[in-house]
Amino acid sequence: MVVFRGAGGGGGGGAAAAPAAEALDAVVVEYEPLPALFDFDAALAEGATLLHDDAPGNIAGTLAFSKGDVDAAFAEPGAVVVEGTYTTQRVHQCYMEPMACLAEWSPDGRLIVHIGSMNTSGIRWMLANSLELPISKVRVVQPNVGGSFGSKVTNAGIYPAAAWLAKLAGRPVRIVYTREEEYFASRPRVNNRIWLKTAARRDGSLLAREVTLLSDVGAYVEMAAAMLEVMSHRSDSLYRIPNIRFDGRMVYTNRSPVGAYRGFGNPQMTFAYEEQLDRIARELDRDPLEFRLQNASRQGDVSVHGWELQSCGYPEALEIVRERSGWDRKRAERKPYRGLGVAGTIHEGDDRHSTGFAGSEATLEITEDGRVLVTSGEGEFGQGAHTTFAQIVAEELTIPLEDVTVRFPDTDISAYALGPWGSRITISGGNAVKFAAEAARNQLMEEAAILLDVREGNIALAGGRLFVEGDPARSASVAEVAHSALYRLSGGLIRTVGKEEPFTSMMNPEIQSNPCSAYSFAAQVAEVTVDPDTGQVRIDGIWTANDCGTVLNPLMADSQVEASVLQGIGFTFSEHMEYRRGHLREAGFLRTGTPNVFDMPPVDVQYTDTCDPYGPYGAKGVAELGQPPIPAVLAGAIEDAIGVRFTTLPITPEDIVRALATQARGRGLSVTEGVEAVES
Amino acid sequence: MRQAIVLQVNGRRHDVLARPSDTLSQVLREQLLLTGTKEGCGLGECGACSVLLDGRAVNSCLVLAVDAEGHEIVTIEGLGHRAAAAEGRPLDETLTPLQEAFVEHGAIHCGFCTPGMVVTATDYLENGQRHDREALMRAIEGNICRCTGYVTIVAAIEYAQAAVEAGA
Repeated sequence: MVVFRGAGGGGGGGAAAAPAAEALDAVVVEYEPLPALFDFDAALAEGATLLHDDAPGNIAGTLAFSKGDVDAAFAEPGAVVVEGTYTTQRVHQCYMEPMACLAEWSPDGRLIVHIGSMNTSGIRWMLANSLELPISKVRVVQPNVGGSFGSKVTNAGIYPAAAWLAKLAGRPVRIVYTREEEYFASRPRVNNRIWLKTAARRDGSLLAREVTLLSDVGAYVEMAAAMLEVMSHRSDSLYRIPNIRFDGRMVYTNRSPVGAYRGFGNPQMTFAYEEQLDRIARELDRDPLEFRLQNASRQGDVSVHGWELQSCGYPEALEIVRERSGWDRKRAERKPYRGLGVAGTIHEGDDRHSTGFAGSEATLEITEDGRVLVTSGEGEFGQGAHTTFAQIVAEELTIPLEDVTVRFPDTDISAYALGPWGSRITISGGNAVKFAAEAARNQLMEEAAILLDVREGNIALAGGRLFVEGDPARSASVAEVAHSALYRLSGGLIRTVGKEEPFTSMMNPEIQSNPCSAYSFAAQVAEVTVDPDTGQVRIDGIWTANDCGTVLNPLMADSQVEASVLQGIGFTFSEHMEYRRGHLREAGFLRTGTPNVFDMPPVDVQYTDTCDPYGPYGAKGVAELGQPPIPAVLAGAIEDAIGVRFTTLPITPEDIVRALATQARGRGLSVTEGVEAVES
Repeated sequence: MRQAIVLQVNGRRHDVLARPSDTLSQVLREQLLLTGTKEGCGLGECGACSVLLDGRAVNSCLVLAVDAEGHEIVTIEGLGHRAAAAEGRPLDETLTPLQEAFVEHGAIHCGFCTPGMVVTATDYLENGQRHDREALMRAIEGNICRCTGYVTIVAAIEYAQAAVEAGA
């Protein structure tokens, strides 16, 4: 049974490379149409066809929990209570390089797969399992990858297919998705419907939050369960809020399963939560930024779920964007059709999804010419992981960056790794590399003592040279020491292992746990001008302040935030995957609204002065901070400009024109009169 | 059915056998192994496959290989040689000032859009009627980058442009 276009037998529906396409013409498949369900309302309707026999009501899974006394909090006399429903759409991650792999079998019966992905250990395990091979018979190699934004960590269906075809053909087999196949067969962001209720006391302190959430997970659950877990509680630690209730359901439909995408559910939830904060602030006649500041979590807090915020720059981030954007001044001098919005986010750094090893391991070798080779299974796909690793080694060994090479993951060489997701690479992989470099520095010093014949006193390392403290004339370069170590009697290669293992507890919102090594924060302000005639929104500026701890590479960090912001803008205004009767109506960058250079507004990127006690040099993750607040901050700015809050994404010019017309009619005015009324 | 065609790529003559339906990007990548040219969509929507055809940037996924016969094609691999030849320098692996600017400004993340971006910007710098922010953005409008938010890319091109103007 084909449960969605792009599954198994449906995979041939797209265009194949010429020879394969010709072969495909010779294959005739007859399909018997069965009833199909393409959205969660149809899937949840009474008497709907069951897509999986073991899932009554097409419910793929549920998650529900409650903390504190939610009912009592909502019933508190004088409490301000707001509620609403929010809808977010499916979007594709739109990494530039389509999914690809190359599978071949070696003469000794080993399977070698090159993957255009970044989860070598996980894919090796999956291949061994699905092909019933001993794990040592599978080698997975990751070359440079053309973007991922989370998605490629999960989408693995082509790997066993290529391996199997290679076995049958007795030849290497390459599979590359076309862009069209990307849209219907890969794993886009989950679409949600969120019902939310929030309460605050008159003094502005947040009291309670209640969420009912639906996830359209498509034909199979895959990553959606972990996503539901994240959506259920991550944002609860951004503000101090003592009473929480969550009821989430995953719903099967005949669409593709969903996958990870920058934020992992965070942009959807932030869109809903932050709208309600704006509304409460308005009802209390409070400045929305000030209101957030009052409730913001602070360093040392243990949140409602037990998250231990060992560093938290969120209050400072709010102050930075207030200052940089001219928030107070601009709010005082209001102009028609111009609006300001504010929103914030908390993000994970390395959250624990397993009770076993959840850290990272790196090895480091110093060759006799003084160069360093770093091996880590944590992959690079454009986010700069390898540059960061090289920087850490260069810092520890006081050598030039160019002298450090970071290998791409290869399961024959690199240690088991969880892979780059959850903003964990700098924290987890970076610490592992740092520990390996520290060990290498110690070895270098021991070897230098032998080479320089130092029996007393200490060896120091600076500028790539090891020298005797107090007698710098007695010195040797890293290369000389490494050479000596390798060739002296009983010597050997300087080779170290660094292992990072976080002190976290399994992510579980039903109990108290502390799943992340570190938590990152961001605050944003946006200023927009709405054209009431066309419904076009011009973004005059976005100000971001990011708490990613110590910034290790300002150039890369800025760029991560900028790109993440732009993806958020696409998610807010243009990106969509429109289905009709189960088929994507449109596939391709342009037709699904991928932003181009003209969609990038001026973005101010700032950082808080935070130093995390766990991350390397105080660093935390940065990659996922830009996107989550954007839909909320833009919807808030639009509301500030025209008095209409949009709770469904994407927000199109048509939506805005229509809303303005409705608004004008409500006042008994024509649209033109309505516009004039606002302008005067 | 394949037909013999002659392609002039990066200053060298290549005899290839191509199907009438083969695109230039397919032939460059699969036959000439010039894999610096990337194919992101095959629909002419992302610009990753941009190459210079008689000095102007085109989406090579939309050009039939047979139609490229008789034209001068330059791919990302050939930009350095082309610049050296134009300046009468010996051919080497030197990057063009624009490529250097991309490196210096961190305008490369995953690198998949980079060859097309550089090729398109080369055309803009050499043939653009106007050189200002608006014209630059118009030039790279058809090149999608998902990793950078375009800020560093625009900065790199403007830097190279300023260098060209200072040298002129």
